Amino acid sequence: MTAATPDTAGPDTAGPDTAGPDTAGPDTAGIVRRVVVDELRANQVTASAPLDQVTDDLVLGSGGLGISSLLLLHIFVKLEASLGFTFEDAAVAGARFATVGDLVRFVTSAAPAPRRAGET
Amino acid sequence: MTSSDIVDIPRHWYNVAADLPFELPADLTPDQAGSATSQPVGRSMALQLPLALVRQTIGKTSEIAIPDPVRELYRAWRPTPLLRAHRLEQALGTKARIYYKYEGGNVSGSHKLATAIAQAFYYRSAGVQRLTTGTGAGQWGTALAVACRSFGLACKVYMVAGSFTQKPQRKTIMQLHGADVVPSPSLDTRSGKLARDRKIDGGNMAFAVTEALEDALASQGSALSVGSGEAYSILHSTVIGLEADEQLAKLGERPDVVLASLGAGSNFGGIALPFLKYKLRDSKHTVRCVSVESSACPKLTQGVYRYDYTDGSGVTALQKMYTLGHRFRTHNMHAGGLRYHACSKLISALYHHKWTEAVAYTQTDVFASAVQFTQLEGILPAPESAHAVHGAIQEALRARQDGTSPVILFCLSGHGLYDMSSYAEYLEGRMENVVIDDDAIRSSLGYLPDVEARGQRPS
Repeated sequence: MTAATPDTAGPDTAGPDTAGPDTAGPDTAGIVRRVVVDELRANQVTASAPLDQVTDDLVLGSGGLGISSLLLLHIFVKLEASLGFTFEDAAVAGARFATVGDLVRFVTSAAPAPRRAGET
Repeated sequence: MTSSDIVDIPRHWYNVAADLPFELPADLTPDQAGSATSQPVGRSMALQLPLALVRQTIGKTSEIAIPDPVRELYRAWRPTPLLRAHRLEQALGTKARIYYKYEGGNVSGSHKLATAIAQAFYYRSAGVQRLTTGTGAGQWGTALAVACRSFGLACKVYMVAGSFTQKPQRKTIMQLHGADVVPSPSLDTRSGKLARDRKIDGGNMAFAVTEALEDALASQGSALSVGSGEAYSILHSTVIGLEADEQLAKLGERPDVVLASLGAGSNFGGIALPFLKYKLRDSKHTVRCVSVESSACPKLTQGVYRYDYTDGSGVTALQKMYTLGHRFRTHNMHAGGLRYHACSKLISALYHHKWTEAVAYTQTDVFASAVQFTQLEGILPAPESAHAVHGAIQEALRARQDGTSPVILFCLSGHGLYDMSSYAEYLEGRMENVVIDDDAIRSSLGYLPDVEARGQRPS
């Protein structure tokens, strides 16, 4: 199952405000962690864990980073802008997220494969 | 009357976020407010809202394309007519030109169908099979029932018990479209049963939404849909103002003042924001946008600009908005759609930064204007819409006094054919005004989460 579509916002969606790279490369996990931290700071969320040590086993919600379901949705939209593709609504809606690792695995599996040199 | 509905349905909604000269305050999680009913520790999250709606909420693209399937369904009743109230003008002896956008000519009877259709489309696209919601007067519940039917979704409506009893026809038309409708507090949720057992007065919009949320979280394939305060609801409703702008332009008119009743914001934002756009982009434009609220629920004119819960559960996000407190209760109020304790954070922020105005009127004055309007113009306004009628009449009378001739535009957001018991009460002299004293407001505000005082957000 793929959970992503290329970043060509159709007439039924509002695409991300800023275009990111064409593909998600091997640093997708790093980008996920960075966006999570940026959003936590931007929203002044008081996390139970230090933000410079966001590890995969950290809980996203209460008792961990304190991310609400609404903020997690915002993080997905920010990730679209950073990674340059849009997630399929149905795939996101059908998933469950407990830890940072859950989020990283979901985003990594959703990202389109990196393009090879010369590929258009 | 002059009709000028020879325009096409807009291809885009207008996103005012693109033109705001200020940032909207961030939402807070219940944890940040120290809520005792916040999310259980370590529980995994399932996301309720389609990403497409979130993109619309936080994006800053000015024009957001209306999906073709939504636009096709809009064709059943859009564009709606823009009418001029000639006889009302004559009766008032004013030189003001009064136009109104009539949104009651669809099967749901109100403006709510514009966002209901859009939301049902996006939820279905996200794989949701069933939507739950809370409704006050029943307009939103009816609109969502119609929209769910259009896209093959099941629908469960928790209707404020008082309205459920007062308006049995609302229940019937929702059922006619396949919805399951129960009075709130209901026996179908844990919170509803608790409220009934404790004889807690839960007959209000915030509690109905609480029940709908509990239901959605407990049911596979279900999601909560809300009809007024969310930014995307307001966005979808801008189709009203965009049409009106084009219709007025064809008549060579531009409004000096735009009015609409205020529940949580979709009706007011829907007609006003496409006109406010000109003012936001160019200070030479002087259009006034006036929200008309009920003096029985005066969130803008008597509330405070603070963080509060958007429903009664204490588990949803907190937003900074004008509020009377999520425990505020209003009784004997006929405009049930204006009973919500707060105003959306977008409309609240615009008011806070003085881009819009607000007035509040008593229901006997509002019904007097509604009767005058229906006798002269031939359309019976819903009690909520009648607030805009009354506001427009006050503007026209002021123009007569000042010797001016402004163009007044208001949104007649729905018809009142389900509200005959309210009109009967008015005609029989049994209607009383609801008096909200300062102590009642102060008491309710005492339950606000003390976010600002804890230093988490600047006031």
